[in-house]
Amino acid sequence: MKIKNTIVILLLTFFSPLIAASQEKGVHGQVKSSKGETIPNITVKLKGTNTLTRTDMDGKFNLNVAAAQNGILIFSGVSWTTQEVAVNGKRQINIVLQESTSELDGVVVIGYGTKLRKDLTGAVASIPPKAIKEMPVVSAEQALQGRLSGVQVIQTNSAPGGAISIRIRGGNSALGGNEPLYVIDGFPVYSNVGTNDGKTQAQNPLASINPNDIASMEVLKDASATAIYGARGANGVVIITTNRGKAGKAKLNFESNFGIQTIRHKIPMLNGKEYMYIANTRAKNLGTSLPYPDASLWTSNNDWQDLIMRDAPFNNYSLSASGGNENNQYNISGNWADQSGIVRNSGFKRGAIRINLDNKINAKLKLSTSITASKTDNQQARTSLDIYGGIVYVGLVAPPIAPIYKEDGSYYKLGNIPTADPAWDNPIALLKGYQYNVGVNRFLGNSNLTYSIIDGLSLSVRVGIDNQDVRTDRYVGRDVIGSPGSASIANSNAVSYLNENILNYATQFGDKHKFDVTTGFTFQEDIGLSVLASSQNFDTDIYGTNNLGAGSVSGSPTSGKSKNTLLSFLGRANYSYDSKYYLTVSARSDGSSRFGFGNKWGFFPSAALAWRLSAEDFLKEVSWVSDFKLRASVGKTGNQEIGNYNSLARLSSIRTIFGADQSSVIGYAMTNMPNSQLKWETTTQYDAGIELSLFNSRLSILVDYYVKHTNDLLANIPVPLSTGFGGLLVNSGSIRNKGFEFSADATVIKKDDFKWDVRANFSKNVGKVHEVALSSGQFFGGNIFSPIDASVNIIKEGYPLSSFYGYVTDGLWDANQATGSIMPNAKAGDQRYKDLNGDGRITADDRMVLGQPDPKMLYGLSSTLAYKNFEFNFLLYGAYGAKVFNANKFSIGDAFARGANQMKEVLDFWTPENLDAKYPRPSNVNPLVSDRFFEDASFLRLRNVQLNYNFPEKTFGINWLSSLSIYVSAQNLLTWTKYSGFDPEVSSTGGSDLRKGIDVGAYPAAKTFSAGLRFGL
Amino acid sequence: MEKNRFFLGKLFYSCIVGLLLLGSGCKDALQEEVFSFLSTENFYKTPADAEAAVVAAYAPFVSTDYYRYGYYNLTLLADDQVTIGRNPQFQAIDNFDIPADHPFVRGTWQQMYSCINRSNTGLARIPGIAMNEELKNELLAECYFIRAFNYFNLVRLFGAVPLTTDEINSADKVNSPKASVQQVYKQITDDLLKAESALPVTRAGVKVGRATKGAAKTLLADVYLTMENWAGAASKAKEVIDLNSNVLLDNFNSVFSVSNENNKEIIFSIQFDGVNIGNSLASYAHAGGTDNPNTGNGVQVWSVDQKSDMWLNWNLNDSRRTFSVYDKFINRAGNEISVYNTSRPFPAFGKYNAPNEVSGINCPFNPIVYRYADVLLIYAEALSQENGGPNAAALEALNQVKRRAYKRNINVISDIDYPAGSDKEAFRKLVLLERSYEFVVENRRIFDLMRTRQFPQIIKQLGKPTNPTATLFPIPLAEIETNKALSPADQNLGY
Repeated sequence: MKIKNTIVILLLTFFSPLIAASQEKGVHGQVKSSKGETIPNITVKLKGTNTLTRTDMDGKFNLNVAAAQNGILIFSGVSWTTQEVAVNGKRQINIVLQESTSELDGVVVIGYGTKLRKDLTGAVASIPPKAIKEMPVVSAEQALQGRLSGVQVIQTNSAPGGAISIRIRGGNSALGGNEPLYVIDGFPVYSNVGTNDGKTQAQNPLASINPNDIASMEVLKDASATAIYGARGANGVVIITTNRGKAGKAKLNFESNFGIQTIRHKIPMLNGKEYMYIANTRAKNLGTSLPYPDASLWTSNNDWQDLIMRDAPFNNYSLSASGGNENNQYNISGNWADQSGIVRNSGFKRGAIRINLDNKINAKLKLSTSITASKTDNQQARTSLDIYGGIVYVGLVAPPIAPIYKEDGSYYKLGNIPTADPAWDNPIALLKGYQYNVGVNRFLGNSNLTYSIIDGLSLSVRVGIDNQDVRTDRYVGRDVIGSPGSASIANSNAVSYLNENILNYATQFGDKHKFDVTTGFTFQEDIGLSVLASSQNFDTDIYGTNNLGAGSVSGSPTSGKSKNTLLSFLGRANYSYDSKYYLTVSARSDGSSRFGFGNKWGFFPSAALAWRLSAEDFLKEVSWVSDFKLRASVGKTGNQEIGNYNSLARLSSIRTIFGADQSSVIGYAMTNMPNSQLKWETTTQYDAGIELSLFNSRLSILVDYYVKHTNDLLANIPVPLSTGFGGLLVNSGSIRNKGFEFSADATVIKKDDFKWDVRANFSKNVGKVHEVALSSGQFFGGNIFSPIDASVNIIKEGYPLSSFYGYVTDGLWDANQATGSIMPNAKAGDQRYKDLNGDGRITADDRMVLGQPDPKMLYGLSSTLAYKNFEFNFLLYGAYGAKVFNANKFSIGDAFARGANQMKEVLDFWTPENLDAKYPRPSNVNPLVSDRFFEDASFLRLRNVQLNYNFPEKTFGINWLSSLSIYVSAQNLLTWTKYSGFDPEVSSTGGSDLRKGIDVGAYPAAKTFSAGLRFGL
Repeated sequence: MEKNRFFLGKLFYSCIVGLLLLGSGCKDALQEEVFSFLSTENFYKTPADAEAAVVAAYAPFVSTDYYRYGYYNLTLLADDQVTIGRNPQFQAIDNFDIPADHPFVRGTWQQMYSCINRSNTGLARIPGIAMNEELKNELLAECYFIRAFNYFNLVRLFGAVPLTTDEINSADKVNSPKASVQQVYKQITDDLLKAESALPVTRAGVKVGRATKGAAKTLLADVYLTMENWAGAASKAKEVIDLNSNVLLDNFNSVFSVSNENNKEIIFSIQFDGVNIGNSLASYAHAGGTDNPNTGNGVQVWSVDQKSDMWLNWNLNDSRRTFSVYDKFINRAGNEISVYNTSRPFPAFGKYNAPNEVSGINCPFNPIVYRYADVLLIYAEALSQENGGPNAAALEALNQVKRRAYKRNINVISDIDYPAGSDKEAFRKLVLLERSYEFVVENRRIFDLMRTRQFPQIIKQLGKPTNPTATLFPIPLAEIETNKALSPADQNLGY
């Protein structure tokens, strides 16, 4: 955008003498939109020549060339449909331009530059700016959901402010992180969604950005597009550009929306009577005394889901002002968002201000500045992996017969219920006793100074800073089991300094040879600081974290500092011949401090070819083909997310206890095995694509096929344990992804008062672990907490990353089969498993791969219908082929093995009269991790539906109102899925974890209804 | 050409601009700067560094996979007194049908070797540090003690294991071949003979809890006992007795009081404070969840095996019984609760009490490795074995332990004394029986069963679906897969 503006201004500068020279000959006129607004910055070119001019602030132009009077003028501009007008000797031409619906004319932001879509050689997907507006969302990435092929947006946690993880063309990495690189107004930000550490939920990296501020989002997918980001490009790049001011009349825009969220799907659970019935049945089966001989003694019948959840409101206000003159433009916006969570005591608030300025300092210098300052506050409900402590989990397992309070007003302990696990917290006590708040102050700003050296050659120097101060307050009250009242405050500061120095050169030889080069040198440094203070044993809960000194036992304070640096040289050259043949080569050389001494620098080249058949003579005359392009690319990208200091021999401080008064003593030892050869993961990607645009761009089709080979996978390979070390970080192993992407955009009806657009996308990705670093060809993804205490993910050669792994059920035992069989202790009605290896017993060797956590196919369909002043749009999307490990069901569907409340459907348990029951007989036999708990998570979802009404101009006779619209919308209104848990879109473990696709007491998804108002002055 | 030169000039120029703006050079910028840890280059120079290296060698003892609970999960569940009624991962240990990739086995193995490698680091680095020679020798002796201690645990659980005595600090040193059981024992006894000579008799102040001369001698006595070197075991035990540093406390229960840790009976224990570093012994041993006043959360990972001799035949007059095992307890509200009416209907263990524990991981109790009763029983057994039958000293040592349990005067012949006149084998059985009562959930039982070759037959007889051929724990699969000096043939029998 900025560079485009630069070019515009430069061109204006160069041609202004011509404009001044004569007013007598040539053609002049004015360009307006269909709404009657004048349009500045429209290029007016005399066809077949290099003569051109631009419209000024009032949409006026003057082409001072006599030849123009007999020629054809071409009017073109970003987001306007190009129009050709024969002058026929007229002196004045006034025309009305239509807003472009075709993306071909659109400018696409790519790494360190922009391109016209028709000139692209790489696979770049863009979200139409309108689509961002179609769905009122609090977080920007949600706008990507279901819209683009090859882009999977994973809601790891439906909590307000919860993390969203993005996979572009599948995951490449086992340990190195799979999140794309975000480039926000030119500032590269790697957002490690992180893993769920067992106590807290992962953070949303884009939480500080107001979606209303976003002008465009582009996703760079193939190597030709991403190699310019070198060691950070392997997972794709999401480029976010915010709104900038335009010369012209000052504009003020206001938007407010408010709504209500309710739980999308409540899990039907047993009521009090049914709970006691299944408990008594278990006792009879086991031959023990009945826990509830007299049901009338238990009068409580609580629906804990209702008690911990609520209908939660949200509202979001944005106000922006923009405008400026030819030399200085501004766009300033403010935002306030307040979203309550459907689980009580959770919510998200954001206040943000953004200032984007574009200043022409003189004919040669232009400054472009983008600043966002924000404060977010995220109050988190406890939805940890350590499920005994998770509010959602406890709300499911808690017996309905437990009252909330005792008669004296204190919390009732679930352990007093004869069949409850004493480790379960009273859900309300946990809800109120656990306070967790993450406050983030973020300043993200950068300035880009462009110096126009000579015609076509410019130097841009960008400096920027991303400073985040995060304060995490955590207080666990004394009513939470095991807590004496414990408080901690963690403060961290993460700052990233950026300097980029980019040289651009564009030239044209003759009429047909176009050539441009981008080259540069960049520097980015990240410094992290942290400090933690804590204390426990409080006499009262009233202080929360506000008086650490009141805790009688203080914890050890900790602090830390880390730093990493990335130095890069980059270059890209584009050559095109006659808008037919395109060649792009790019390369980046990255030097990262994280890499080992012997491997500091990595080189990441790419090349791409494109052939625009539509520009060839044989297609030029085919009027229904607007554009037809074939392209192919190959390139290498890297992934440097290997963590800091992993190549060094580190001596860490280690605490142990000695002394008569048992005090802490600090020792020092080497805690990791150094690897001076440590380097980036390398992905080689091949891509071939077809771009077809038909019927005057009414139908556009995009097809891509890609293959990605990721080698040198970062792997924590176990060194022999007899070294005392857990592992050695090395580059070993590989992952293969290949896939197919299809998208189609159609303008089905295009009339003045009736328009109908349809956009569809489909993608399929097949990811396989090709090689792991171990001779066994497999390793496990890490245990899930009690009561599962097992790993459900396996990383196994030939199978998708983090495939599910477990036993296979084989119906239920009947009366006589158990004795002398593979399960000698089983009784009639117990779960039966398959003896896969046929050794006559059920052992760990009887497990197999039971599916994959990533969908095999993703698809989306969105459509907009505009009739007169009404506009209706919807977004449907779905995923097919993924499974979810329903860890909740391991407790609430275990046929009462551990006394947890059960799902209603468990009433279909085995009895001698109900032999083909779905569930085993209630007993104390724990289930194994088996196919019973891996559920099909395929779904189709009506993600958004919105009805918008634009008031006609000058409604209510208010002249100063330039636009006014109101809308109502609903999100997640309908979802079709077989998944029995809260929501099939779930991954409790967060972003980069080998444990995947696990629903462990995850925050339930909401259904949202909202209404909004927009107006502009 | 002209243009090209211009171009490169500009590129250079832009690089310079970038460097000037940030004030750093290309080369230096990529050197990793460290702030929150030390690197090996600038360490091991001062007496304080030597001290820190030794402290670090002890540190793995308090890790999750070692004395915090992981090691106990392995050794307690596998014996005949402890069981668990749920969870396949734990039941695999309980049944002694353990997959070679079992995480508990892997974790414990690794922590033992972590102690060993850090001891090796100390032994390699401390001699080069200029410092007081006496203190230097004492620190080196601690390293020998820690190394021997861990090889002893390894050789008993796993048999022949990789034996490393050099510091491992780079990827080219990681593969160590297995040494024979004899070689491992040779290393252990060599190390302990060095350790016992340089370690101090007592510890005071900040060093309370660290290895002493008595600890090294007791360990060596236990090593000799396991090697069936009866004379060696008896004489080392006698040396401990003659140090006069330790006694039997009058009251069995007070040995385990959290307000009386490091008491006179304790020879070596692992130090926990329950605040910064706590363990789960109380939580894992007790029943009743948060309602049990003796723990923050009794989750009963270790339940009494109701088919065990200890549960079925233990004399109710033995004060150790009511203290060590129970099937009823008084809850926080003061009511008596039967364990059979809880969600985990098994008798539980009462030895480890942490009444002020705030959760199941804050037990401050110091897990006992050796206490004086052990020395007496080692002495009794070894002396009798050495002499072909118990002499008066052997019998007296055994009876002292029993008298305390039955609340008799420890040093006075009593009505419950074992009579003289047993033969060697019968006497040894009595000692082992006494040990089985004395050391319930103290991590001694499994080793007694193993060294007397009753394991795993004894748990097979309890009806557990035990691995049909294994007698030792499996060498972790990860070790076999990664250690290039090992092959699958190096795995223990039955895996």
